[in-house]
Amino acid sequence: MKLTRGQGEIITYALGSCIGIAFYDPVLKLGALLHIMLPVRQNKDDPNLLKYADTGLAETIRKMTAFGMLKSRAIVKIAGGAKMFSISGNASFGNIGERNAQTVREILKKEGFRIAAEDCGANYARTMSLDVATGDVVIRISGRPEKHL
Amino acid sequence: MRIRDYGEMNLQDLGLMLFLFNLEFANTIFEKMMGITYPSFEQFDDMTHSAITEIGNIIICSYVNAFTELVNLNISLSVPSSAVSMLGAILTVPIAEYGYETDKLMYCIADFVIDGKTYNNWLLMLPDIASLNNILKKLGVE
Repeated sequence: MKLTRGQGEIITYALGSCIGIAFYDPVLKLGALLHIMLPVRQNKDDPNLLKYADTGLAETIRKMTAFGMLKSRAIVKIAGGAKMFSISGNASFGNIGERNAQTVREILKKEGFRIAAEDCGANYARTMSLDVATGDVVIRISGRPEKHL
Repeated sequence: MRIRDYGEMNLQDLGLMLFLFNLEFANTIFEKMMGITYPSFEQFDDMTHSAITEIGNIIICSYVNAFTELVNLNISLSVPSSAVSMLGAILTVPIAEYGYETDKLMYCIADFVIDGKTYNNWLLMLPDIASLNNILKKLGVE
């Protein structure tokens, strides 16, 4: 997870089944980009908080709030959660992307954030960037035009 | 230059195997099989996708057969699947399945020599941690 203010671009690459979550406070020009791989942290001694949706989002929200973000004006956008492999006959394996997306949406809703835009699903990888000067989120996909959220 | 990796995955109850194709290697095989080559992985058509899935399946099966003899384990394989994407994105799927237990996997360099020319490919094996320890023990590595 990277957090910055004023100007600069934060990028996260190769969002396959992972979810990228961009938080932006337009008044402070404060932004953070989190890249989670799994829905829930299961081992409470695992120090990798930012890998999981539950602990990663909690930590990112905590840091952004400490820097002055207000939930009422925060703009949240998410991307990723693709189904990279289509494994026939084994539903739970291939759909980690969808499970990640669902968990992220649930946690954001519980925390009181509205998702302003999202680009989730399909079967291709994405690169996501957040420009903190403008709040613009760009999704780049190989072989397709880039998408602004 | 970015290599477009074509991953082949076999799902076992106990782990995953991924074969990553080098484009030149894939093209050499296609030329012999079907008489055509492709400038990039993204330009494969359905028939080629199917062909490469099966080629990867054969390679993984051969490797597993040799490996099971070496470590005297019984490994069975399931239906193969494949994807064309950024390597990091492809890897997120097996890492997601085994990310709770371990950050480690076994990474083998798989060089194929055809008509005297060497092609570099990669074979990744991600067994679950208990199986990995078992395999390492049988290989004599503690």
